[in-house]
Amino acid sequence: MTSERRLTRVFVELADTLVDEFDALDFLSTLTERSVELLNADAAGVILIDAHGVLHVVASTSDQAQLLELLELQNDEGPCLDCLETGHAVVNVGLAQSRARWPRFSAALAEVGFQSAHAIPLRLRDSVVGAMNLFCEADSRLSDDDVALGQALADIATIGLLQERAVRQSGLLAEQLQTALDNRVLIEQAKGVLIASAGIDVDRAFRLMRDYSRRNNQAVKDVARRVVERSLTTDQLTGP
Amino acid sequence: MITPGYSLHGAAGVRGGLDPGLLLRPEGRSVRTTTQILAAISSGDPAGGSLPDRLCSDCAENLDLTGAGMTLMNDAGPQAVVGASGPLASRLEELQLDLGEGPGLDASRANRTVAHDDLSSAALTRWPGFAPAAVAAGVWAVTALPLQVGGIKLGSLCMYRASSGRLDDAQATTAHAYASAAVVVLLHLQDQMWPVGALHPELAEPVAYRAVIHQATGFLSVTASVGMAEALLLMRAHAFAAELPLLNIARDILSGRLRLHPEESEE
Repeated sequence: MTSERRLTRVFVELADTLVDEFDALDFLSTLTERSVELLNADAAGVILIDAHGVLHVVASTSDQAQLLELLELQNDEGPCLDCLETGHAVVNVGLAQSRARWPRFSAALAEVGFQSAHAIPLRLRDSVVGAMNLFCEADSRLSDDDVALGQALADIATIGLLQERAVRQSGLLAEQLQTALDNRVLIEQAKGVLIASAGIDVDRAFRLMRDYSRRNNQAVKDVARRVVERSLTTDQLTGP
Repeated sequence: MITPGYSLHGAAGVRGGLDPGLLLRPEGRSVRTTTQILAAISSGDPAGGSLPDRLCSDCAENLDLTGAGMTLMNDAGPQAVVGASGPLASRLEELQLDLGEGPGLDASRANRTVAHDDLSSAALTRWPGFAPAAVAAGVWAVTALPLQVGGIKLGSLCMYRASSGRLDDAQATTAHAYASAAVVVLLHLQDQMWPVGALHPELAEPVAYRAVIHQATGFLSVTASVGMAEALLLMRAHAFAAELPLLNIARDILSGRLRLHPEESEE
């Protein structure tokens, strides 16, 4: 298969993954595997930076401890950290070159048996949310075209992460909407309970619950729930 | 303007898989995508009502419907008619809530599209309260779509038609796009709220319209010594028998003019 056709198939595969029952971790894992194939690397990992600036390995081509360590290590030093700081790809980092700049990273790289490393940023508009790391057993070099392809793959990873966030956000909003609706209904039902059991009008019923909620530092919705469940009597509501 | 930034699983049109130019209805009206719908209703005249109202009006116009209506629900069932293209749709939606039966409720409960192409026939056994009233109002066919996010049921969108028959494929695609747009509108409204505990005014107002029913439910739960769900069923049964809106029954209960007891529903 020509590399172009192969490339198309990879992109279609990744696009398909984005549609149904999306799982962000599976998606990133697939992405690392395809990136290794297309860029003639031997291992890859995706690192994301959290709100506190800590790097986390979220996907890799293997669970090999040394590879994970190599990725984790870059919380302190390495091409990935540079890539995250500058927002630019850091590619074709050979053993000799890295020894001077990142001695610990270089030692770990040699220990796993890699000769070179690359880091490509996951960019979201002006910010960098993470990076994709590639490692090669041979001291191979990425051409400009390879780097452009790597960036395209990294951009797809970013889209996948955005998709995941959108799903989570919409679920959160839907839950908030449901809770707001539940509380509204509950408060009205509680008013009705108080109207019937205390012989008061609807405004007085609400004021009773609101005043009790303030005196006892409880949310009105929680007071309403207790009224509906009959665990809070009218006497208790009016009492001190 | 609202964009479909919230992810919608199974939302037709959201992912741009359709080329509007390829799918033309016989009349030459094209399939509409969720994005197009949202653009149309958010740039529309605010005098056309709330966003859910405008979505229903746009839906009715685009699909040649007699009316379209949108209902908001929680786990306990449908709670408010939040959007309607006009009085007819509003009345049929309210009727479903009063009766506790109808295509919108079935669609949201089962999380699938519920369609009936001839309400005068088989639907009589399926929706004994709703179907005859719909036919009397000149509605012969209905398509109801669930509004859902993940496992969370938000409500339904009902499309009422004056003639029997099914929606064609292009119309069905557009109908799904309207349901997706309806979910986006609901989430968009909730997204405007800070702090998050309250409902957006465009949703709170229709919910408040039926507040008396919840108050009467609580009231009846005390006077008839029953649970909330049973109290609501008692009121529904009485409203159906008396052929009165549930709101009227609720007001009468709260004012003490009407007393209901569990055994009365079994007469």
